[in-house]
Amino acid sequence: MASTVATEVPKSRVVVDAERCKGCDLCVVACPQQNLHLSGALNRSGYHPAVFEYHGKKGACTACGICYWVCPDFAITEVLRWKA
Amino acid sequence: MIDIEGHYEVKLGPLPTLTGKPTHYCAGCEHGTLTRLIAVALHEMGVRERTVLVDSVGCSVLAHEYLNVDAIQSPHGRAPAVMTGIKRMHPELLVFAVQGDGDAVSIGLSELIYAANRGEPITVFLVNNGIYGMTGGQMAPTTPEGMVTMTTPHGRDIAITGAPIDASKLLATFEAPAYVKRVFLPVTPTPAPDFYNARGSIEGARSVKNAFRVQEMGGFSFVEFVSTCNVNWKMSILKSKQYAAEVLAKVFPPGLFKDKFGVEKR
Repeated sequence: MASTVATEVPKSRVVVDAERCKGCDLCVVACPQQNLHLSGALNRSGYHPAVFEYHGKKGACTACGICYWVCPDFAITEVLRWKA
Repeated sequence: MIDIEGHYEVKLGPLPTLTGKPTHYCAGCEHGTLTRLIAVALHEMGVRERTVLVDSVGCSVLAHEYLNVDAIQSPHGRAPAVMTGIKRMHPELLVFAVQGDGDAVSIGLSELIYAANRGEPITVFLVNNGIYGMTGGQMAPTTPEGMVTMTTPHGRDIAITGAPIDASKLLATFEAPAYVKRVFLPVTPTPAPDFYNARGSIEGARSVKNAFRVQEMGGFSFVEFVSTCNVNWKMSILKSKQYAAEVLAKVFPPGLFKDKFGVEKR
């Protein structure tokens, strides 16, 4: 039986390189929509890396790129936006 | 499953000006943020091929590992002198240094002052976190009054050690420097709980670009970035950002001290 689940296409995406992330929390507190949080899992260096979710605590990601600018470890590698 | 991969455009992405190596900086350090700002500016200006980075001594010494540009290592504090030599031999190159406050304001203050006074067309980025970071947290000339460091366990007493040196204000008193600016780089606490604004990074990105533009126009440019050092301040990362906003931003208020060519308005 084919399930008909209506999935929404995210309008923007943030790619986090979990192995580079040092879990400094800066992108988490700087995100205006609170779409990033620290993972419970550990990466290879023993840090809790940041995880991106499209629907955050306040709303959907707007691809503003603030996480990209504040990240000191270049762990936010890409900020992608849906082509209009 | 619909293929959505091809429908995204990269708004901000990987930069050819970064080597891609993982950084050695502590978690939450502004050195990494500044490296990114420089990489973005070099990429947008398209000057990577003719850029020379002069390494100073301190936490900034490994900047050449991350920035994909030619680099030369200078003796402690002597980055402005080395940059002067490079720039005079090869005026077509874009030369810049990332210096810490121990490097630029303590041991290399004389070199910095004379390079600024000559108006050499070079760029100096000063990361001022008010402490000697790499050597383990000793008092620096920029340590604010009352701050507890390894060498001032009862807080800095300005009756004994003198008041913090304000490098931006000092350089702005000279006639020759074309661009002197101080930016508060860390994220700043806001009244909203668990939310910090990132105005510093955005302002910093503009300042880095302006500093390079001023150098291309033939003037000395100096940008001081007020930063944090949570490890040696013995604080959590977010506590150190708060301390920087409350204490360091009062001692070193951000502002534009000199803009001879008017690049800030354009």
